[in-house]
Amino acid sequence: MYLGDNEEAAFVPNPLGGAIAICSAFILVLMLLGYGPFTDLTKKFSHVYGVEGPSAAVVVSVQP
Amino acid sequence: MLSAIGAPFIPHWAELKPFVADLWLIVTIVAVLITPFFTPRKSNIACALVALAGLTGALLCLLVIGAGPNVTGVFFRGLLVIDGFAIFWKVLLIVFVMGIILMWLSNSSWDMHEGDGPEFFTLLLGATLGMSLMASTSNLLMIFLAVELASLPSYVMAGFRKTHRVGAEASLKYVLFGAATSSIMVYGLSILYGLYGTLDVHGPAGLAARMATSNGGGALLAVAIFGLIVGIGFKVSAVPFHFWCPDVFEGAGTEVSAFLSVASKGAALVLLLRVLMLMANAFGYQNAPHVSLSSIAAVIGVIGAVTATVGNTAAFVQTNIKRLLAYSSIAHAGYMLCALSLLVAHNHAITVDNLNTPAQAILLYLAVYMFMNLGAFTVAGLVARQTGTELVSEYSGLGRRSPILAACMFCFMISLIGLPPFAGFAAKLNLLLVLMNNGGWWWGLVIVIGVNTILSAF
Repeated sequence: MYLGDNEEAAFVPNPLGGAIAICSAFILVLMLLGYGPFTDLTKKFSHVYGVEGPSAAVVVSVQP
Repeated sequence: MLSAIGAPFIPHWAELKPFVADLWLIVTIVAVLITPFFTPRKSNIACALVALAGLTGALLCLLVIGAGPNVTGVFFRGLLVIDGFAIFWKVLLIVFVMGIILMWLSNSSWDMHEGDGPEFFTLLLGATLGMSLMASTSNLLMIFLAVELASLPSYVMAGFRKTHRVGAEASLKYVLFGAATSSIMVYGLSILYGLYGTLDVHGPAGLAARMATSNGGGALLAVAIFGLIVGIGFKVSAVPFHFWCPDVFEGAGTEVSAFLSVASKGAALVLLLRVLMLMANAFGYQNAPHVSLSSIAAVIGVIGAVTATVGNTAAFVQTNIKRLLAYSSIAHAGYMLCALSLLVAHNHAITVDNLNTPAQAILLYLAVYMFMNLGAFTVAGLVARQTGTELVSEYSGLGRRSPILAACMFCFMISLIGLPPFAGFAAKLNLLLVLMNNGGWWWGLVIVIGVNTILSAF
């Protein structure tokens, strides 16, 4: 589709907008290349306060 | 009289310190409002620069807190909570809003009426503050306040293009849907309070014990959880609460659509994840007599799967690029909802690392999704500005007219599908691995996401 015929004239995008688009694309490649460190970083910050595992949870007993 | 109320609460620095970025946002809002007094001309751009400076300050505060000694806990008498999860989301949110302001500078700064800047950036920062607080609360009252603080400015921003009829219609639709779902959510929250006598979701000892021993509360609890899911599902644009999304994205400005596509959905997912994980933790990841965690997990999983499928299939027939991206955002919200269904440990030992895998998958996905959408909406805005329309057919021949934009859009689309060599692939793979590790019926969600990935390629 991008390479299809269109008689419209070529244009130069706004430099700031173009820079945002290029930076975003570059970051997406970088995130894939740095998948390991990025996963470690998200693991480090994934702790939800109060979620400590079953030992900290209340033992729920069924009342007769 | 005062003694009956109790001593007034005056927070000291130790309480305020974890939330200094939120306070900085409030200071920035005030600074943006008074900026026109000091800049008689071009006040819109001056407001944008002040907002950018304020967000940079807030980001630095967060980075200092995040890199410093472990600051986790409950603050402000249980109203607010801070942990690594909240800090990471806040960093993502602020970076994203900075990107939105840059997008506005590149795309819409010439179109906005002179003098509208303070209102627009106040609304943007106000919504950002609400979305930041949504990640930092486990209190029923604060959940409602944060959701409304995020929603009310969003309604106005959706209709900010005052001479745009579609924008006004979008804003009205957004308000009506929002009012209906908010009322259902507050009804659910009030039932929760009525059942258990506490506003604190965080107190598992009290809440779980009360939940388990209260006879006959099962139906009411189901209604309460339904209300909560409706309220947050609206923000996430989960099916069947997604109807506002394409219309609002089409009617709103490009930067507002981009903001809502990531920030609004991300904040809602982060809030829902916190509430569900605390609830699951309270029951030790097992079903209790009146609370079936498996059923809640199944409902969320099914909503996620249906949302992803509806988003991808409805995108087929779209001719407007913003509507197309709206359905794409619905589909991605569905993928992330699937990760929220991991409430019951099925196939692995319950350890703290395992318990936090949904949070890790969501954070990674949101970080990647943020850049995919920021880029895609920026290109959409630039092309629309050049061609005067938002039709997908205008992208024909873009490779010749603007090779850079065409190449960038190609990257974002490939990444949104989830194909290598972009991070969308890694985020989706990570999500699938988390679901696969749990085994059981979560394999069904893996298959649904796989099929949807193929559908989204078309």
